[in-house]
Amino acid sequence: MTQTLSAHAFELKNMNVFYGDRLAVKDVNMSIQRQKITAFIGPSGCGKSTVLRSLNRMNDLIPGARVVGDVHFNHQNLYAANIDAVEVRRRIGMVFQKPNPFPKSIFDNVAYGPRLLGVRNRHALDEIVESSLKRAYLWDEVKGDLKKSGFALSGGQQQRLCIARTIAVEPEVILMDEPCSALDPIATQAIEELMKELVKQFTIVIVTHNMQQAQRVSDFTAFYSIRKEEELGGKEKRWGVLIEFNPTDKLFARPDHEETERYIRGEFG
Amino acid sequence: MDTHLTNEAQFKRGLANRQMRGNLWRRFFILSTTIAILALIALFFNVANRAFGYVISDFTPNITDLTEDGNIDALTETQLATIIEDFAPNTLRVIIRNELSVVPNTEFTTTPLNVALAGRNVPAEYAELTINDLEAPDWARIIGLNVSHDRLVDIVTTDIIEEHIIKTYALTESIFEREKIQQFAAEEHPNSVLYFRSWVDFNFITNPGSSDATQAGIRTALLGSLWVIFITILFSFPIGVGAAIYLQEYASDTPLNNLIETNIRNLAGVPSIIYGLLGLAIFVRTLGTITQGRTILSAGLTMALLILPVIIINSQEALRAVPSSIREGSYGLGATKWQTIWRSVLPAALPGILTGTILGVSRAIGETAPLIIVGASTAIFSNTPPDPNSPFSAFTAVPLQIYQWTARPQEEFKTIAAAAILVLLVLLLTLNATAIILRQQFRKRLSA
Repeated sequence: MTQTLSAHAFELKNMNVFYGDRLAVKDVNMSIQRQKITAFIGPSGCGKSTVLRSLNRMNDLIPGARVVGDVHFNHQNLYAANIDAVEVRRRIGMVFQKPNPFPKSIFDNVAYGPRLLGVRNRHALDEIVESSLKRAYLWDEVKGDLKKSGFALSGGQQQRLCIARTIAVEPEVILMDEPCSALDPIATQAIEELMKELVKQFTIVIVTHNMQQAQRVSDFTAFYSIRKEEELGGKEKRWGVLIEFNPTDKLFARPDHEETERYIRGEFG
Repeated sequence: MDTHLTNEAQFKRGLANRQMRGNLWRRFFILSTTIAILALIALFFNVANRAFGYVISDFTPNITDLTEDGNIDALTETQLATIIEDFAPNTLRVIIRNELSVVPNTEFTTTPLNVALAGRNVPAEYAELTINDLEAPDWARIIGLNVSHDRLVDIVTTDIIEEHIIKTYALTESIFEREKIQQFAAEEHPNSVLYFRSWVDFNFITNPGSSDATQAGIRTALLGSLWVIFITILFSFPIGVGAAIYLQEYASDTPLNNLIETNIRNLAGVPSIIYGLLGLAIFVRTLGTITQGRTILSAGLTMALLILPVIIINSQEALRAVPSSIREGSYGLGATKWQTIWRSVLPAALPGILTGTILGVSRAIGETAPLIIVGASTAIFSNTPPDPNSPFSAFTAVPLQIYQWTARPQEEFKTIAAAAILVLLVLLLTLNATAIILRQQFRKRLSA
């Protein structure tokens, strides 16, 4: 990481995502800034999660999913032939909509990633687990019983455990796919505060259904929407497009596009 | 509009109707459960009814001729040795040779007794003599001095006294018609012994097969079954789980793979006798040089083939049921496919995989037809049948032994068949219980 890096972690150029023959997202162009929080908002089916999952090649897991165009991360095309998706996912971690701790102890959950990379030394693992849990603001709540199952925690704690688990492999980016949609307001607040802390070290991209959340936490916001087209035989084709990408303050106060304005006013969604 | 939504009376009638339909179904479900439970109870009762009950027997020689109070245990070693001398003098020599001698059998008859029986209690006057210089009373004396009381009682009760069963009674008869049985025994067979016998006892488990129902045990068959099951699990578990992992995790959704999957499902329904024929052709004949023909290995491999589809299907089902969130979580941390399978998917699927294996193994324990074809030695009836001791032993198995016994005309063999069924059921329940406990342990570790 010694070479000069631009302020942009990701650069997407004419990115299209297909599921089989079906176009899911069309012509996305955007640059995501390093060590900032970027929020993706938009109505259901607009492809914001699809774009997010293209950023660390999670889409590879879906049979038939294809990315066409450029997704550059640190000037490297993530979809180049010589890039291993496993390496990509270690450097670009992901937190999911529903907290998904492994059916293992809290310790083993956090140590899972380091162990994948071959860390066996108990002392080293202890240190990683402790520091990761501390950075996820979970340490004080669980330090007494790291042997307890991850499932024994509350929903908010589980989500912070998943964040700690992600931090433990020292990624550069954390992608969050609606991380608070299964949580109550208090747990949500805890996660949001955590995000503001984490952004000092990590680049964060978050998909959210909650516009207030995007306004509260993010520096930049991307608004996606749906385009439709009637096909022969009355079938309808739908795909997602990026409508507007601006600093959050500007997007919510003075959006460039009329469609953005209607969406944030709650006229559709 | 006059519908259920607006008309109160009609709504009430409709509701009563809906509730009644639900109740009818509930009663049907209760009835089904009751029938299933009754059938199980009937099965157990039927077997237990035969395995315990009164027996009228003649003993030759009559026990009261040997000892006045009929208690053989109370006799001294010398008295016991004398009884053996009276009825089977040559047995004494055999016991000395087999249980006391320290020299090889070939040198036994020519070696002086102080050498042949070094360390034993040998009277001084016999020291320089060989076994052939002595007579039966001398042998009895040596035995009385050296063989334990328990062993002597054992020899007298099993080798000297022969039991001839005249009549056996079922458990229900024994309980409800006790007086009638006692009266019958006293009148018709005054010289015989009437006693209550549990046909399943320690001796039944530890005795080898025998042509005498009173002496016959299940040891050889039990060991045979355990050996076969061991071989079966050894081969079917890793291969079955491996195939399931490939089909579920690696194989893509091509027509060929779908065809393979469908066919594995069909294989689970193929009659077991067909597997027997397959085993005969492949393991006994074609691979005869490796399996050495009709051996435990051949039978175990045949059984492994038989339960392979069950294990594959159930393991695949278990793998499929692992939530995708677990896989995503693992991949999201930079795990490779194999790391994800090994560290996350397999542990989560293990309880289900174990359940499938239990189902398969339970089936294998009770199977008879393939074993008959592959050629278990169904006629192990000599008094010293060989216990199976390697994968290349000939063997019999519990279900086969049961089949063999029930096919005999004598009443008492049907009785020991019932006893053997009880043993088989206990074996099955033990294996199942072990697996269920294992499964619960895994579940607890995964979720608690």
